Amino acid sequence: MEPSNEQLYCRTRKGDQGAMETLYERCEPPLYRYAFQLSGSRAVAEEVTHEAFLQIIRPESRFNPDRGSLEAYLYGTVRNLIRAARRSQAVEGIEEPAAEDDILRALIDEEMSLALHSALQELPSPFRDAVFLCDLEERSYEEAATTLGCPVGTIRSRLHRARQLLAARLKPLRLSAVSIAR
Amino acid sequence: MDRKDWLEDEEVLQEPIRRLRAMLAEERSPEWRRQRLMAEFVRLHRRSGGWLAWATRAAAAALLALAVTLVWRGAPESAQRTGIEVAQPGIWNHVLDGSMDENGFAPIPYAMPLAAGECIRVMRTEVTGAALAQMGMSLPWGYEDDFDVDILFGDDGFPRAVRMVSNTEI
Repeated sequence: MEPSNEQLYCRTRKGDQGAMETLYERCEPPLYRYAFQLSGSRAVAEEVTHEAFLQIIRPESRFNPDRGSLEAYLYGTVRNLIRAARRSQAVEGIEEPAAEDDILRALIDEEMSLALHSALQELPSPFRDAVFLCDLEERSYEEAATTLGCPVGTIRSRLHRARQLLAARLKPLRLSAVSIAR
Repeated sequence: MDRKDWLEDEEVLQEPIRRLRAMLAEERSPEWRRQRLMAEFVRLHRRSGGWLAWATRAAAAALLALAVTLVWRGAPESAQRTGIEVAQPGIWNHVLDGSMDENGFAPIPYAMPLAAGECIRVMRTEVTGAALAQMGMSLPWGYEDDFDVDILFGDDGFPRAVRMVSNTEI
């Protein structure tokens, strides 16, 4: 049986580098994708993901396994760091989010996918997280609930509501595409 | 919301979600980020060292304290000379009759004897014979002469004994 993330974390606190490698391999890719999807920038995603991991390896790490899962802590950290980065950009007078700098947007050539990406960024954070974990990362409701630290029923209702909001944004585009095709 | 609407929503979202998922699937931080994090991990744990390093440090500190204690107890006289602490209890009791101790100090008449473990301070100064006489010392020489002396002060700051520097007999 594979050790849980929290067990690996406890081993890293004792200096077990192997546990740190395993934890990184397991948690970094989805965390980076989450940051990338949220910020639309590879540079920002790299930076905040790296910082989130630095926070858990530092001696003064504030993560407490009794208060929630490690993933919930990491996702929360990434979310806060991106929020802080946006605030500092706003203070410096930089447009937020910088659409022209949004590499993810540039990568999405298909109109509906682009609209989905934009709509996702505008969703309230709890709804967006549910869509990210269940639809983009293809995790089960139970896994998403563990990661976000909430009941399975809450995940279901958030996902249902999020899909309604996303579909409402995408339907007009689909209709126009169909009418043009005719 | 009826089933028809739900199915319609699912149909609208299905393909864009699949595309976005496929596009994100290959994304991850570059390898140098992982290497830098691991280097930082190793650095942090090398510095803190874990429980074994702490235990080693504690043992070393205990050994050092033990060595200092043994050296201190083995050289009480030198400790007295440095003026840190009187190691032998009641060392001045035997000179209350006016005789000098083995270090050449003569007790000042009617001064309080040093207590066991009392901290002392020795100050070298030049005094007149008259000042020594005022302290109660009997002098075979003239009161107007100047003398180089070591004055031993107790913990309370009062002088307890005097030693001639050039001639240890007053």
